[in-house]
Amino acid sequence: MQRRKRGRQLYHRIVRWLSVAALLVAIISTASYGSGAHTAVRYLDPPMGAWWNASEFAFMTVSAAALGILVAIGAGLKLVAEEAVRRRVAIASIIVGAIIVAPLASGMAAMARLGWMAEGGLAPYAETSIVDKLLIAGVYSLKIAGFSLIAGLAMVAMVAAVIVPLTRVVPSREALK
Amino acid sequence: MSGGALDFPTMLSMRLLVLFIHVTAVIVALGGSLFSTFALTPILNSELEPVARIKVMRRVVRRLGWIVLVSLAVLVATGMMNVFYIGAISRLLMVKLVLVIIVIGLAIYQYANVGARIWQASSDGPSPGLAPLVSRFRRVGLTVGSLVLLIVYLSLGLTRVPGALSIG
Ligand code: HEM
Repeated sequence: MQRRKRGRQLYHRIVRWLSVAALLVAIISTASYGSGAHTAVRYLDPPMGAWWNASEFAFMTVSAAALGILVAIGAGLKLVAEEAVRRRVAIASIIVGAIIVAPLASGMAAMARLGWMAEGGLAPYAETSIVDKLLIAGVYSLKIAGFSLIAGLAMVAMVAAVIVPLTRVVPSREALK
Repeated sequence: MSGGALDFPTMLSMRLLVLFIHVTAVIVALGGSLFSTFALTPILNSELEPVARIKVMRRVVRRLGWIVLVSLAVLVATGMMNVFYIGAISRLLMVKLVLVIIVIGLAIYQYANVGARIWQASSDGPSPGLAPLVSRFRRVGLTVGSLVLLIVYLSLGLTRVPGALSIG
C-alpha cells in the first residue's frame, strides 16, 4: 500500500519516464552510431542525414550520462526516509542533474575512451566489422552510463547532505531545555 | 624525484594536489566515523544522562552525516580526475568502483534514512524506538568503515601493481 502510494508520486514518475526516454535515446543513437545508420537517413533526406551524422555522438553520450544520473537518483531516493525529505532531494537532484549532464557527458565520454590497461590487440575502430562496431559503441555507452551512475550517486549524496539538515523536525522545547 | 632529492615542480603538480584532496577526503570521512563510533559514543553513554546524551547524539549524527556525504562526493570528483592522470582503467579500479557504489549507497541510507529517523524519534528526548535505530546506525556505520578500509587497501595497488590486475 505504502509502496503504491509512493509509486504515484509525481517526482517518481518523472524520474521513471525520464529514465525510459534516456534509455530509448541511448539505444537508438548507439545503434545508429555503431551501424553508420546516418547514411540511410542521408539517402532519404540529405540535410536531415547530415544533421543526424553531426549529432548522433552527442545524443549517444548525453543520453547515456543522463541514464546513469537518473538510475542513481532513482536508487538514491529509495534510500532516503521521510516523504518531505525525499521530495526535496528528488527535485533538487533532478535540477542539479539537468545542469551537470552535458559537461558530465563529455567528461565521462573522455574517461570511457581510456583503454583497459592491457589493451593492445584491438583493431582500429574504422577497420572493424559492423558487429564489432556495434559492440564497441554499446560498451562505450555502457561505460559512460556506469561512470555517470557513480557521479550521480555522489550528486545525490551531496544533495542529501544539504537537504536533510534543512528539513528539520522541530524538537519540542522540553527536549531542548 | 631524482637521486633522492626533492623534485619541487613534481611535488607541486596539479596531480599531487588532486591526490592530496582525495586522500584528505578519505581521512575526513573515515576519521570522523571512527572517532564517533569508538571514542565519542562510549563516552557519551557512560558520562551523560539519557536526555543530555540524546541531545548531543542527534546533533553529532546530523553533523557527521554532512561531513561524510560531502567527503564521498569529493572522493568521487577527485577520483575521476585521478583516473585521467593515470590515463587507463584497470580491473582493480573497476572492483574499487563497485565497492564505491555500495559505500555511497550505504552512507546515504545511514544518514538520510536511519540518521534522519533518529533525528525525528529523538525530537522529544529519549523514546523506546530509538535504541534499535541507534544500533542499526552503528552497524551500517561499521560496514561502511570496513568497506572504506578495503577500498583504501585496494587503492594502494592502483599505481603500484597495475600489471598484475589489468584487463587482458
Ligand atoms: C570511498 C571512496 C574512495 C576511497 C576510500 C579512495 C581511496 C583512495 C586512496 C587512499 C588512494 C591513494 C592510494 C595511494 O597512495 O596510492 C586513492 C587513489 C586513487 N583513487 Fe581513490 N578512493 C575512493 C574513490 C575513488 C573513485 C570514485 C575513483 C575513480 C572514479 C578513484 C580513483 C583513484 C585513483 C585513479 C587513484 C590513484 C591515484 C594516483 O596514484 O595517482 N577513487 N584512492
